[in-house]
Amino acid sequence: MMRKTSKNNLDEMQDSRLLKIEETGLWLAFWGLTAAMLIQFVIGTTLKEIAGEAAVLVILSVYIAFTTVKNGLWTRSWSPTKRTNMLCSFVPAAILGGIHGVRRFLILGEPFSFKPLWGILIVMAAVYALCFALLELLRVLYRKRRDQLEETGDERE
Amino acid sequence: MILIGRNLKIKIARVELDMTQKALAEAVGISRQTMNAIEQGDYNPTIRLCRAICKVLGKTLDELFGEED
Repeated sequence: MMRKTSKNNLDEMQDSRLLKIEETGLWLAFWGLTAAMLIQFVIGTTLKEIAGEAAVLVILSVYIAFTTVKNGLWTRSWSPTKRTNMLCSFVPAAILGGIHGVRRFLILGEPFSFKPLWGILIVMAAVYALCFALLELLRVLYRKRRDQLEETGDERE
Repeated sequence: MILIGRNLKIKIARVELDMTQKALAEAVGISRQTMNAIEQGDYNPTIRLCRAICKVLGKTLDELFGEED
């Protein structure tokens, strides 16, 4: 007989369905929060004013990154390669650069010149470098952990 | 994956023992909704649950969940 513990009133199918719902909810919250922060940044909200949302997003990201690496997991669809990390780092750099540009030239009405454009490019380069460094660090840790997990068990001898 | 399509073998074994889906579900400690999904082939149970069902119905894993030729 399958025992239901006091901590879980659901059977295995109900539990797996609830996990799926929770997973969808988590990603909705994650991307919703990201989109809300980006929109607020475009309309002129200061970083101080969105510090709460930023903190939640950072905690969520650190938790996901830490627990997946700890369990020797990477994403379902992307392979852990330097090339993928380079491509993935370009996305946030382009989005933040674009938002920075929209804010400066369209919202704040700064006249178009090369000086602020350089500033935007520096922001993009910094975001790209930071994302790439973080992803590479995670990739190295993931490989180490995966190899460690692969070596444990009966076939170690 | 063990199940493909509807699992009539469970239904037949259950009916032979004159058990309802609800009774079998209660005997193995799951909901009737899950038992129905297993019989309909909409859910692939874990090996632990497969063994519990076999035990209640007095059948082997191969008899209930084995692949058809």
